[in-house]
Amino acid sequence: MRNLSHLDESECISRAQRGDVSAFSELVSRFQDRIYRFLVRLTRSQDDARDLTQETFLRAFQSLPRWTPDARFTTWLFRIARNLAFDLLRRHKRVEFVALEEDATIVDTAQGPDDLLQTAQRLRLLEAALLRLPAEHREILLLREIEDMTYDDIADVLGLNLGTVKSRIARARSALIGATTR
Amino acid sequence: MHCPPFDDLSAYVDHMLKPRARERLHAHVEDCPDCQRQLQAVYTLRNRLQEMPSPELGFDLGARLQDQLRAASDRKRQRRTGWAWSGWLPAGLAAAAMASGVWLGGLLVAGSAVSLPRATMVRVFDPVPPGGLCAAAELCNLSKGMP
Repeated sequence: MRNLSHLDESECISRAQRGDVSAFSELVSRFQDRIYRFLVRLTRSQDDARDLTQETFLRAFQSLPRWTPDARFTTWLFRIARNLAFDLLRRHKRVEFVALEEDATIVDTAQGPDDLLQTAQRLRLLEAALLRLPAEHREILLLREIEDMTYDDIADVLGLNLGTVKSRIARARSALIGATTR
Repeated sequence: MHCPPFDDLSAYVDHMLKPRARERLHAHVEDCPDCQRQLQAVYTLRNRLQEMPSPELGFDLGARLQDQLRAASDRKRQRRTGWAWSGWLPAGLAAAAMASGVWLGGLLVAGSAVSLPRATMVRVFDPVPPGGLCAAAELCNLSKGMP
């Protein structure tokens, strides 16, 4: 495989649109972990996330000739990934809650001693609480807080207007804060 | 000012309030311990979410997909070529139809040039039909005397 890491994103995209498989593979390498980490938390399954990551890029390659620079490539990829994940969640009726572990009494320990063990425990509990949120709240928090997307990009990925993005982010934050401070 | 709704506090953290609304909210929060606590909770949540370990795929998917991508690319190219051929097909058929029409028309025109026997040469009451065999020599001989 040719090394195309020196190419910028738009050059890779335009080569890939002309059928250059190596250029598309370079794009896959750049975005695979972001797409995977989004999917693994959205589907709550590493196996599903692996399959869907692969499917996302295959779909993107097939649709790439129709892609235009009006949409950001990243948000376009996330939209494909998100739609695939929701198809799967609906098929498996896995859109809602999973049970917290028995010992997952969630207490905010931010003010206490902050050794490594406590930090790890806190993050584990936060992750568990995040996974318990409804998928609509989970996905918007992942896009905003982990992927650091703007409201405009989130609106584009989820097909929502800006007002809905604003209120849904607030509700998701409120729900997660509530879940981690009970 | 009453405490703003949580939506506005959340948007404030994301710098998504309009400048006037942002100033008003900022002024309120400075004097409101409740809103300060809520804002702090949002900032803390953000920091912790960003501290969560980031799962990785663990292999080079791009390299692994190369064969499938090449196959998809080939299929796409073949489809495009197929479309190109199918695009020429109607034009080719139309041209062939037109050529055969011209050819058949030419045959008709050429056919009219074939010389027909003059009317004077046709004997209406000839006992032997054209191309028929002569059943009796004397009957056939009759025609000799006729014009």
